[in-house]
Amino acid sequence: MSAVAYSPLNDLPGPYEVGNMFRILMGRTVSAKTRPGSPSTVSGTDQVAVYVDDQGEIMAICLCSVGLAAAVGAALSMLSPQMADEASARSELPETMRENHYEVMNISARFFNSPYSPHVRLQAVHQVDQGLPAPLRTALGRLGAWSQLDIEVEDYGTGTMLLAHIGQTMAQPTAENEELRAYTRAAIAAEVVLATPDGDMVMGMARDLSIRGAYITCDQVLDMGAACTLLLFAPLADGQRKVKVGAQVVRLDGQGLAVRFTMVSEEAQATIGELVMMKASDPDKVAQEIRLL
Amino acid sequence: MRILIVDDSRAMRMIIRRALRQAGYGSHDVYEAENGQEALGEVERHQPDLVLADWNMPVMNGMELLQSLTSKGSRIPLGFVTSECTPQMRRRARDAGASFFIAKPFTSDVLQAALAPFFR
Repeated sequence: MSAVAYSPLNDLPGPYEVGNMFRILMGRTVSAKTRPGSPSTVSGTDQVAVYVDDQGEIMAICLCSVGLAAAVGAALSMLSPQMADEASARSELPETMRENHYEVMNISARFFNSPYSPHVRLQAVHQVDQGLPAPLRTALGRLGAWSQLDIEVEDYGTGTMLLAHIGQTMAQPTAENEELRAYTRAAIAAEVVLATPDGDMVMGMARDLSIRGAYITCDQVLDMGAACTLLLFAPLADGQRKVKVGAQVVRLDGQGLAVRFTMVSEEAQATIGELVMMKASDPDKVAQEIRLL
Repeated sequence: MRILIVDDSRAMRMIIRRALRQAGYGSHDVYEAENGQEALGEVERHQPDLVLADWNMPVMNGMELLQSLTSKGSRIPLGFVTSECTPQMRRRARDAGASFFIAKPFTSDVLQAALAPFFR
């Protein structure tokens, strides 16, 4: 089985991941759709969030139209939708909205963090027409893989978001457990809780999932070979569903751990299969793997 | 139960309050602080049973708050609720005595699972 080629391109979140994260944050319906075509021309009132690595190098940006920044900034703390409309029309965010949008961009750093890429964090958010630092202007001319979305925040309005890596760095996968690699792995972002029989509990984020196992970024407090119960909050099309399975740690690395599923009910297997098929690039292959289980 | 939320983002404090309600902990007393320094004052004042703290905050960050509480002999459980969630940070938090670590954004289910041991 050939190795999965991870790259910033397939690491970037799609509409579902972005919409789901915004929905969790704002507690309301958020719809996101891929915007076809090339990235839009940068407008003077766009808000540019800059993400840097631990050396301060610009690694990624998230560019939001002022309409989206206002919608997100207002919805986060339930300001009136009218305030979002006014801010959008004036192309100027009041302080609270600006702070809230900053917080959303801060949390959005997770879109660029994966086990296969350098750690990045939000450095700053700039409005384009208020002057951009020279390194950022240079970076904007070197966009790498990108994902552009149209986003609608229920009651608060719409706008566009461009997530982009800077440059074209290709990250490499680390060594994997060969048995798990034999199954199609879908990139996901789903909260998990790992509980050991002695009561230790680890929160983590499932970063990829197959019908037989998962890779989870988390604290490495579980031992190699440890048995645990894995609670996965599966982000499905009709909402979040909890899945509980028995699992065993089969690999530890500097970023997290891989688990193999050891005890899976029919219902849990069906949910996991549904999620992997939804996220995988080749759902037919996943369907075949499920039939052969 | 008395719960202290420590986060420099007003919106995030509100979101944590909302998640606490949704997780079934709405009847408890909830207090807020904007940073670790302020939190130390609130701990003195209210003697909370649980602290939920952001990691990155001005004046005094969450890790400094945890270390300060520990150095004073405090046994109040403190969990991090933060957007920064590298494995290294999780290890540091655990080594320093943090009770749990939740990455933002989080659902009320995740909060419920993390807090359940403290409400038994």
